[in-house]
Amino acid sequence: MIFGIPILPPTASSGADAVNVLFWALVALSLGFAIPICALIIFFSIKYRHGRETNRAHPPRTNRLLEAAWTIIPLLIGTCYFAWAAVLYVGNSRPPANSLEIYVVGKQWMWKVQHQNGRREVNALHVPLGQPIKLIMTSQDVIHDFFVPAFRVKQDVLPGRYTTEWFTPTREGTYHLFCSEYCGTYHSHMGGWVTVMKPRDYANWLVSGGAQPTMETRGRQLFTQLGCSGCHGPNSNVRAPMLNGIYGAPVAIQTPGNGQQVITADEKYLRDSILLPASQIAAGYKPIMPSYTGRVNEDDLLQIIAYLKSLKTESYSEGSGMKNGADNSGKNGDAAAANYQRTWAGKGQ
Amino acid sequence: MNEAPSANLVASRFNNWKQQSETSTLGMWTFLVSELLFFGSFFASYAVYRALNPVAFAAASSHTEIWIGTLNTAILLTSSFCMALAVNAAKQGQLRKVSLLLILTALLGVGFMGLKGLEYYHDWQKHLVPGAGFQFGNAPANSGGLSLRRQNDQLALPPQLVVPPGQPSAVPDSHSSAMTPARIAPEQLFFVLYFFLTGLHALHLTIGILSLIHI
Amino acid sequence: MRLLKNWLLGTSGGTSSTAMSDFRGVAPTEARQAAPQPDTEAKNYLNAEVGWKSWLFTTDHKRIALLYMFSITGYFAIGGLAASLMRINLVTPHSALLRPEDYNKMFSLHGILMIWFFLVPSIPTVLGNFLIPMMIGAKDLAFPKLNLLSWYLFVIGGTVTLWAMITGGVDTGWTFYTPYSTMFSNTAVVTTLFGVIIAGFSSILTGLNFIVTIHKMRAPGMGWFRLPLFVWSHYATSLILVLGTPVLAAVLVLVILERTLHIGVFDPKYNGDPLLFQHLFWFYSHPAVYIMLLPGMGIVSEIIPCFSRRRPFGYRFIAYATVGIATLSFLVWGHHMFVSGQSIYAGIIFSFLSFAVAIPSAIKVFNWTATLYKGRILLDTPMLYALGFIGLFVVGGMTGLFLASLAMDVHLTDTYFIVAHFHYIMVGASVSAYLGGLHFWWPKITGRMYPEGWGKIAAGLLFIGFNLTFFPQFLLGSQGMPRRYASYAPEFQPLNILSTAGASILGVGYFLPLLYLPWAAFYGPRAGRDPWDATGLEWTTPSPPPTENFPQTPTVTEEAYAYHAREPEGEGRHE
Repeated sequence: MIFGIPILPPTASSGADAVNVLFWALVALSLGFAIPICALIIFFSIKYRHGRETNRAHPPRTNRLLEAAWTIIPLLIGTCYFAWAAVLYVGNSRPPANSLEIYVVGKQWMWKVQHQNGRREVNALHVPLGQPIKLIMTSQDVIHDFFVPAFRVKQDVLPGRYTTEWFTPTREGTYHLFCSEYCGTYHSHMGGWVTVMKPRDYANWLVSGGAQPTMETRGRQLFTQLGCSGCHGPNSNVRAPMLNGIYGAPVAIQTPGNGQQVITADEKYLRDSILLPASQIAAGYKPIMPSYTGRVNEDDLLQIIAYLKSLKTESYSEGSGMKNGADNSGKNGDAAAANYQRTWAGKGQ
Repeated sequence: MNEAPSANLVASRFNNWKQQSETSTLGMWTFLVSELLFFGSFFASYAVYRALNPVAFAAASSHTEIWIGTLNTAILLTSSFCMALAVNAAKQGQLRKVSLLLILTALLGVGFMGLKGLEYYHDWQKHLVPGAGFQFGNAPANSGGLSLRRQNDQLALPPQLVVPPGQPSAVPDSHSSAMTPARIAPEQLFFVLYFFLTGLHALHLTIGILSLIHI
Repeated sequence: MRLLKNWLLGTSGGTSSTAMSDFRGVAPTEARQAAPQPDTEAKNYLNAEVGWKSWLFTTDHKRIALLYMFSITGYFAIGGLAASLMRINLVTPHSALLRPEDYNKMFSLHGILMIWFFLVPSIPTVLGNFLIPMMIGAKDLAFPKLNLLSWYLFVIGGTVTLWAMITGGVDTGWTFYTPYSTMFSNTAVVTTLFGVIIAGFSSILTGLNFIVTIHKMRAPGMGWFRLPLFVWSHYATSLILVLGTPVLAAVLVLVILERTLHIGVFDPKYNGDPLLFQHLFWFYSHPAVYIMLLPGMGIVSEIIPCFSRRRPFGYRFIAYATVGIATLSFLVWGHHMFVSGQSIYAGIIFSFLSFAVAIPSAIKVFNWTATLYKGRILLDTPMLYALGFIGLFVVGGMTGLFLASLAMDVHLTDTYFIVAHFHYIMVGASVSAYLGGLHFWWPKITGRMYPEGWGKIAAGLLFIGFNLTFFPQFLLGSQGMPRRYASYAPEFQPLNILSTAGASILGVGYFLPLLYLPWAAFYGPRAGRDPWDATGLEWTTPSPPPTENFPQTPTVTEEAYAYHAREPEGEGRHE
């Protein structure tokens, strides 16, 4: 607010303050350039106006020193600003390891959000104060963009791949959520509210939506239903890679000509391995996995990936067990929420 | 160098024949640069997808007819050579030779188009034309090395894995019914780009042949 | 008060009607305020032939320029109408006037017409076409028939596009982002794309014609560094037209194929990549911004020396900066895609190059300002437009740095900040330059002066109206209002009302010249050969010029801006 004119939206994330500083520094730079130029133009127009007697002797034709100065000085200033903004951007591009992951699917014209305990919401996002949040986003149709002005974050949401965006909310309140990539007729309706809550309130909110399976549980069900466990389970007689601890681990995949390449198993890798198994074949295995394209939707895919991410190296037997599957899913959701509360509720006070 | 033709061939906006001929040459080169960018953007698209799908593109390109491609390259080079000879002859004023060479150039162009048509016909027979009838991987030529069969739902699934698709979602969300897009094999993309680029080239060639006949 | 009135009417101060020196062997130029002339007009390009056929089949670059002027004015009017409807719709937050689908069609129509059928062709095809041969001392462009073909392609492309707009419209925005344009939009996308591609070929031919003309048709003695800066800027523009437009044509052809045959180049379903479209599209469309801007810079570089009675400060640096902008413009397309999902390393490189492209622009601004120093400044209408251009360009350019800054762009991109920024550059600056140029050369084109008072009023209204319309949009954007929204959050309403109010003033500013310029073409006072006492070959020939431009090919013996030689006191000698 300056003289009652609003300029920037509320500042409600840990990264937003630094962006504000950059914004005002850019404003200062702009004024520092524009005001002298305009003042000079007005001054010259008056001083050297036609018909006014004044000293016009020896107007300079050109001046190499001057030209060099107004080339190099802006270049140096520009480089500083570039570096400043780039450092900020790179720093903001990597979510902290302890981020809370929330899954987002965009479609014409709504945002579908699912929390790890399975709680879903549409055109709304509830997040706990002080906790780094990482959104894993994809689109079911066209390109969308998840924009929360108060957090100064914005990221396109593309069909056929995952993009991420992260922030740490620092102020309770309700903030605008917009789609800011044009996506068709009701583009301007594709928005909602982001609610930042105290961690305890968030934990209560998570379980208030009624009993539902956690993403992990639902993913485990799908893993069985779709037959994944037939090959990737411990009792399988098909030679397929074991998936415990797969997320975030280095994976060697085959390249043409019997070469190998090591990549990190991120969400994109897991997604492609399910939908396009032939494109990335783990070294040492035969390409026998069928493609699951057309048989699993974006939502279910996210559940499966959430399940795969939960498979720790030592916990494989638990993860692949089918005994504690669907029947007690509601309880499982409670457990996750309780677990969450243990971890974060105390911290927020 | 060529002799300067009579003054009435020089358009009134030019001072002399030299200026006029230099002008048209530069115009032609500028046009060619523009064409280079036009084709260049398609080649760039091809390069991007080849880099993204190296295996599939290598396999798919092995299905094109090498001998036709080689022969056509030779024909194109010969045809360009004839055209250059024709230009040279024109500068020396040998009109009869010029028309002969131009006809030869056009004939070679027609020959190229014929071979290209033959190749398209082969592709058609092998179901390599993109679209509903596209099939890739049934050809035995690809059995060695990495198998790149297109993974159909019906194809080689262990019986215990076949589950009816579209299991009802356990959560109450009416919007989750849309399936992930059924991906089509990247081999088709190769043939799409292949047909498009060669087709575009054929269109250019046709324009060239027609203008030669016109001359 | 009286002073103001005199200034508005252009009667005070008088111009240096004395002590005109000979210029390149031509008889002394007429005084600015129309020395009495015989009422019968000499043979010129306007009356050399009569009848509609003599216009539709003309190969005279001057007549083709006028054909272009009429067509782009028509497209501008339609695009402006669409903009008015949008602005009225945005007075209330809940889209009271238009349904969302109609609003989307309006901004698509506005963008497509204004960019490809007004801004890209405006200065090059009207003023460039008219002036380049005259400025370099040629009888015509290198390929006059090609020039006429360009106009026909342009009109056909425009007709096809308008046809698409009438028979269903298009709702993709002018950017045609995939997969929305290829798989999801239910509007006349293919027809529109055909129209744009045809207009694109027209652009390529125009650019080719200019390049060859500037290389090969210069009069004896007209070296590269004697060329007016207007010609330099059109040379750079033509390079972009010839190198960039084919890429646009290629990518739009792919969109058409994808939409009709589902070939899958941009569709993830077929292993296509929607981002490839954005890369190819912006490879053209970022340089396209400079297609719209560089010719405007050329005009300003003509007007400021003339109305300061000085040669431009740092002529060579302005010329180098022009070519530098054109070159760098091809290397910055990725700054439209910082939040699209491209790699952060690509983002860093594109950000740096975007900062770099600001440098030659800054050099120009400094040089124009320095040209005023120790000048003899006349604030006639063209000069008002030119100074307005600098002001608007500075605002547009500095806000461009916000968007080149990576972390800042994340917040601002795809908001109204972007809308305000590119309107400042492409509309504020470019259209000011176009109108300034039209006023400056109107006496040359029509042989008659426009009414000075009305000209100044229109220039003032345009400047005030433009800032009132678009400055509030910066604030809307920095608060986070996304662009392309038919309805919006209620807290954005006050600034939207201000913007719409400003737009009505801006509309008057655009409308006035549409009235008085045609009037002046018939009833204005006769202008004479060189009403501004300007240098440059185009002012050495009668107004309106004869069909062959020059009775005999001129020979150039000095630089383009020999204003110092005309200074009456003789003290104006440059060092």
